[in-house]
Amino acid sequence: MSAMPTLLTVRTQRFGDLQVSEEDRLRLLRPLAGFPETRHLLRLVLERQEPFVWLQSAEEPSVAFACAPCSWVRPGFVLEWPVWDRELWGEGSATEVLALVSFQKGPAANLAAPLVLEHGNRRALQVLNQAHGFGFAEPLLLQRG
Amino acid sequence: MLVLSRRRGESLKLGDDIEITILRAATGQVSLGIVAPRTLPVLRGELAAALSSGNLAALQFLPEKEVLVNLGSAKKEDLS
Repeated sequence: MSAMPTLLTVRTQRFGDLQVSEEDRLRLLRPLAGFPETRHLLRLVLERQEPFVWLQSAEEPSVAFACAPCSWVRPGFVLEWPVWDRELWGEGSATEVLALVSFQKGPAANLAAPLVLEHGNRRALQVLNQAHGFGFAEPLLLQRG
Repeated sequence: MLVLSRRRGESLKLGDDIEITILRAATGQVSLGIVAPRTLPVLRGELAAALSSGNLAALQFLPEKEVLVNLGSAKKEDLS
């Protein structure tokens, strides 16, 4: 008989209290720039919002990012890893590459520093993309004249 | 802030693992050689600031559910 996973309560500002198991948390290999307290992320998929997903900080209730798959934002998206991120990541393929989406000046996606997730090993890393042509705030929709 | 003066060819050590050497100093510009662990990001200050502000921007004006639903539909039209 397998042991029941221990559930943790994660307080969030946007989604209320969430009951999650240890296995639901993705460990950040390096804190996100600007958010040194956040060490783990919860990946949340909400009804009707796909392909958008939310990454909620397990440590900071007010920190939740709306994200979208980079290749959905820009078909032909390319991620080139800098040497320091490649060294830190080591072996293992990315399961998902997500762009943080901002809404300051119309919806825009950060393709310059996407979050790479590996679900199997429950880890995540923000990678500074070395490929040219992908900025910190790429319009999510085509600019229509 | 600690302020140190160094000449060309001289260096600084930060802890055991990081060494910064002044390679060239010309008017208004300094070239640095940096030895650091391969897992340590070495970024120009302006790029590090852009990285932080990009993350912080993503926390402002968080969308309501319907905004994402509508955005998903609009993007689908873009891609078709």
